[in-house]
Amino acid sequence: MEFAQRRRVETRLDAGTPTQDRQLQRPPNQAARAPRHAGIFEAVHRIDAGLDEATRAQLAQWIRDEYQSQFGDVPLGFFARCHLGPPYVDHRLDLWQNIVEHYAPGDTVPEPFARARMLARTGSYDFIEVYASGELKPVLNDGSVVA
Amino acid sequence: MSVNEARILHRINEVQSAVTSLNQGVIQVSGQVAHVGQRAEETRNDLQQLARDFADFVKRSERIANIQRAETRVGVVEAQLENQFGHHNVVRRFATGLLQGFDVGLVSEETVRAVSEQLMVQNPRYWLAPVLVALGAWASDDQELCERGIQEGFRRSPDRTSLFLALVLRRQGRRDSSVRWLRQYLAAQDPHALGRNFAVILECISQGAFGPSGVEIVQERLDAWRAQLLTDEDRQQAQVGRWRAEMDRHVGPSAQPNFPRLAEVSPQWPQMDAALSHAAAHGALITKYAALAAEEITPQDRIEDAVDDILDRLVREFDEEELPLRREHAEHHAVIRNGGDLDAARRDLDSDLIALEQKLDYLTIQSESALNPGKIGVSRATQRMAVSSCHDWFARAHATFCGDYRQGLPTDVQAVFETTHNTAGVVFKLPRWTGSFTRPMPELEADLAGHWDRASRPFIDGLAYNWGRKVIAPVVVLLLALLILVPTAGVAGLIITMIGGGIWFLVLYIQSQAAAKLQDAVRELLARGKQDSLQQLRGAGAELIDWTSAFRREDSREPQVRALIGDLATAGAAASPYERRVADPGAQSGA
Amino acid sequence: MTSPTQNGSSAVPQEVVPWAKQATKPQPRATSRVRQMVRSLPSWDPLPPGEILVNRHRRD
Repeated sequence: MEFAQRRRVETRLDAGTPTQDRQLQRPPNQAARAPRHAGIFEAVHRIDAGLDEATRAQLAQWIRDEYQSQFGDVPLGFFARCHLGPPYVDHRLDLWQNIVEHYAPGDTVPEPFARARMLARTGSYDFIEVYASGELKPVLNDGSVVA
Repeated sequence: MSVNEARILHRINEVQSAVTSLNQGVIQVSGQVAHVGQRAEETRNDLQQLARDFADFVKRSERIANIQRAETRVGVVEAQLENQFGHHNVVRRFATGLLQGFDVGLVSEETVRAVSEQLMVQNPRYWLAPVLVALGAWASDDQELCERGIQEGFRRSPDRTSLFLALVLRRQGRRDSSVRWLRQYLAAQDPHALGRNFAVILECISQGAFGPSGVEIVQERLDAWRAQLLTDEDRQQAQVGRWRAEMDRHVGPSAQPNFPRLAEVSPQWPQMDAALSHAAAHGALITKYAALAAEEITPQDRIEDAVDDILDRLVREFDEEELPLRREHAEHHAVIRNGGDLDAARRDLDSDLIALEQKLDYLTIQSESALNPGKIGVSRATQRMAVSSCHDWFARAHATFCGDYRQGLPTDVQAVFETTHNTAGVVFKLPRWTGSFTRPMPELEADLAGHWDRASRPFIDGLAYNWGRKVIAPVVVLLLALLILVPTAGVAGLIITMIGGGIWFLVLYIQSQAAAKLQDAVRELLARGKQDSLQQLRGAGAELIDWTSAFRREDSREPQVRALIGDLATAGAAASPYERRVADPGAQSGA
Repeated sequence: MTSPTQNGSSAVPQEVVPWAKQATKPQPRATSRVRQMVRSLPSWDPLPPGEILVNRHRRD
């Protein structure tokens, strides 16, 4: 085989496909699994902390936009442990209806958030993303997503 | 008796004897029916036996037919093999001879002459022929012929030519050149379909058989493959699925022996048990993988054996062209050897032939090396490297594993006491009681006690002696007696009445005492039953507390596992044993 | 989160990788496995096609 020819073949084998893929956009699944950055954490915690409706609406809008651009999918809302203290144990943040609701252990939580209760209660996750499809994505303290 | 009566009697007798003979007839018929039934049973058995015999006969004649067919075909196939590929056997014989010469350090002129250029011409498609020519030319310092042999061998099979030369040159101490051939071999591999030789070579390289430059080029190649294959989401998911199965394998056993009362009493027990045994997997995983990370892995002497095994296979295995006929040949022989039993023949086929055809994609090899190193035939060192390469899938599988079992936790733990939960319950027909452990224990106990009381009250009350009713009759009678007797019998009548009344009341009193005793006994049974119930409840409550702390303890090990996976990710990049030996003979292995 | 993921279509069943299995018939070895080096070999090595050219250029 001609030397030059072989060199070309080798280069193609080594670096062809991967660089091509890097240039294209990341596949949607991979993007959806990207870690949630500090900005999102801050925003989610701030909404939780009890603000007036207008500020909350603004924050919710920002969060929705972030999710759309970074991860390609926007959750219905979040479910997390409540730090208000007894009798409340968990709370729900709805991103679209702009609601924050707190729950005691005996209260019923609306679907699809109800399934996130036990996940929140274990204390291993910072918050749980609840999607319209019923899918739940817990987010750990370091930002990594379970999916 | 009148005539009519006699006639009637006679008629009756007639009817009687008719009935008797009818009875006898029925008995006879039923006897015959039983007989027929028995015959039917025998016939059915005979038929079944006949069917079995027939099936056996069919099977036997099938097998005989299989053997006959195989014997006929074998002869034909053997003739075809000799005709088309007889000379391949010659090539293989020369290859063994040449290889043996290299092995003992002496390549005779005779051997070299045998592998003349003619060999290439006579075997126009077999890759081994030109490679032998090249090696023979090398041994006799004929650079030009060597080059030609190499060109031709590479053209026919770059993969096998490169592998063969890499291994032979390595043995002859030509390290740099062997690494060049190794690079060619790796470049010729298709990461979607890797064969058994690849796994062995990977093993040898990681053990240092090709030195640090070998490790470097294989890492390059593996990184490129990973980048190429990982863009496929389905493939990724398949590997994550494999690792998920690994998690599932470490799920602990049921904890029921430790929480018997909770298990008895709570309908949520299965969910709780499942959650706890799944959480226990963290501990098991830590044990297994911490050991792998910390292990001081000694280099293995069997690299050289593995290298020789590959060389043996290369000079012994059939060329792709021959494979279909060779396979058919082996199949027919297997059928004959197994007396025509096709299933046994299939199982019996030489594992080499099957293994030759097994191809796996690179990602699967990686996961299998990590999870089933024994099956693929790789060592502990390679397993560690592979686990390190799989760390992303491991981590993802572990995270979803945790999320899933946590989601399975019940939101509320209840205690349910059915009527049958103790004998007293059955006696009192205690209705079912449900209580939730979210309520404080004293509250629950009070509720359960109250439930018992409410259920048993009518029963006990029903046993109470109804003085009111019982007393009416004697009082009325006494009054009547008094009214009747006293005026007629005077004082005597009064005394009689008094005594009679006294006896009656005594009887009533004795009865009431008995009833009271019964009531007391029943009350005691109730008390014991209630006590037993409450104890079961308390016991379950205590076990629930134990269970909760056990679960928290196991569940909280999740971050430990994540940290371990992170450690393994970097530990695998540590130098091979060879490098470590060269760099620093006294150092510990990275862990 | 969804139910536990299943193996993709490219998953291989655990039992079907007999690579580590020994051959059913013991295979004869091609060499005596003495692993000696041949002393009479020339100083040049057989190289992959095209690489010989590189060698020659290097020597220039």
